[in-house]
Amino acid sequence: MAGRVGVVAVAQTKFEEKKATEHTAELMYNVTREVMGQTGLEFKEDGTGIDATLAASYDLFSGPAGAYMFLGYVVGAYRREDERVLEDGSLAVYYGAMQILSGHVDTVLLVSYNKESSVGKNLIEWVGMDQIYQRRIGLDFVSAAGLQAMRYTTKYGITPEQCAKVVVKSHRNAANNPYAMCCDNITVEDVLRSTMLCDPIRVQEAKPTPVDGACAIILASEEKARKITDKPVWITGFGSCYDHHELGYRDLADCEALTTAAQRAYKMAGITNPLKTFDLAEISEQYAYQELLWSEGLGFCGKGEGGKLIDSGKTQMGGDLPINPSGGMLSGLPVCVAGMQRVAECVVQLRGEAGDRQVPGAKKAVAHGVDGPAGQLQCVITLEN
Amino acid sequence: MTAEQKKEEQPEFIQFRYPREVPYEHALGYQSKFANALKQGRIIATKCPVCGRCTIPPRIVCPFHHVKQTEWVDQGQRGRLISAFKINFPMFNSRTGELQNWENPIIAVELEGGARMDGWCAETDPSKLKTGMLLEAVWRPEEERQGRADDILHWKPVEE
Ligand SMILES: [Zn+2]
Repeated sequence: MAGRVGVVAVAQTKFEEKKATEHTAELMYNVTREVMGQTGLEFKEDGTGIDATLAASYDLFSGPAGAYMFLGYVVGAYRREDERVLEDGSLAVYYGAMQILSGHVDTVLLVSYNKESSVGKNLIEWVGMDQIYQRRIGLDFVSAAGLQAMRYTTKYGITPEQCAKVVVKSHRNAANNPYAMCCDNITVEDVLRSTMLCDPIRVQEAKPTPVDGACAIILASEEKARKITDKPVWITGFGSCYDHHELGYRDLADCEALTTAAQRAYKMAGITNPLKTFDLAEISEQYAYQELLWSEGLGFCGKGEGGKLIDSGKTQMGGDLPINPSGGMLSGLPVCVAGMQRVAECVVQLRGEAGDRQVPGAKKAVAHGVDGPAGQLQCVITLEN
Repeated sequence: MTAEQKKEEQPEFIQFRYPREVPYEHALGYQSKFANALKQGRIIATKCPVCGRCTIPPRIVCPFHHVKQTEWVDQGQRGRLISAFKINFPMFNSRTGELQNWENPIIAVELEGGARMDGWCAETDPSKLKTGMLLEAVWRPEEERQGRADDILHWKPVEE
């Protein structure tokens, strides 16, 4: 294995409900040029430029299946090695790191983009369900989350107040993040009073949608990374895991796929006590209950203890392990972009450049991405400076 | 094996049809300039400051040089035929989403301004189409134009 993989640049757009004046290509271009500017890397064929490009996108949001074929040129996918990940952006980081570790390339440009405003998210997520049986029932990712939330909160006695606290924390943290979409001064009572979306999930407990935005990252081999920047952030571990698609094949109260993905990443990074090891976590919670459940899968607490974890205050800013100092998905991130943006946020923190949302002296962080109904696909990336 | 047993082993194979509509709303962003020009009966293209190539549809960067294209160049109303083919199978009508047969050949045109674009030819007899022949844009009536590619109804050959 050829040394470590370094993150040498990250960029993100401001996340907004509807970027009506911007073509998808403009979102992609802005973040692409920003990371190229940070590194001084260009698309050169003499071996000093970017070797490969890798995009994470949902074509179904962009319009026709295969939309990337006419958008790829924006990220430099022209007469150059190019690959694509169709699911969460965290997987592009995983895949890009593997490309470098293989020794095949030294630098990879990653871009993730999504304009959820182009089409109804529910419709796209409905299309993500088994086409013969589940679609017929009308199941989509929101209803899958409802089933999971009900099962999880019932099995472990997680209270509505504990879930609501996640929303309050996210919005409070997002107020310190200039890229975040919403940062309402919301209370637990406000959350519990909001309309029921999908029992027991209330509107305020769901990721806002639509959200438009993009994110870009440049990864480099250890040797190149040291030349490009004096503040490289290292990817120390990664792991992913796919669960059953059929909800009935899993106990939705537990997230075995995430536990497995985390264990794979932690094993690679030599991490045995994640709660103690990490200075912050940026995780993909599309619904409030998920921050509690994913905390269990990520090993921050035992099974069924996610509620106690938020009650303890450990995951607040200033606690032992702040979760989502950026505000996370509940403050508004597009699906697909979210996972890559979680990694980018960890990098900003580990570079000490997170401004008002900075976790002082952050040395180690974990990013998490998710896709599919009720967290079918899980991906975990560990980083350190 | 009796005929009855055989029947049990062969189920009726079923296929479901799922016609569905997915309504999209695409923001044109920087391409709005191009669409507005079409509405006015004009064809404009983005131009690369490095190589001078003009591109239609407008590109945010030159695909060759990855440089932002900020200059717009009028492409005129005429161009020369690069290639053409007669369509012998039904194609989608982008306005209706329906499959239909097309009388007009699909063509690639190099415009006076240097950009290349696709369209339909008014001449339906493929044997009369010659590479390099001069063509002129025929527009939809102004009130029907939406800033879409088919605001140009077709390209008609011009006598030289
Ligand atoms: Zn050029």
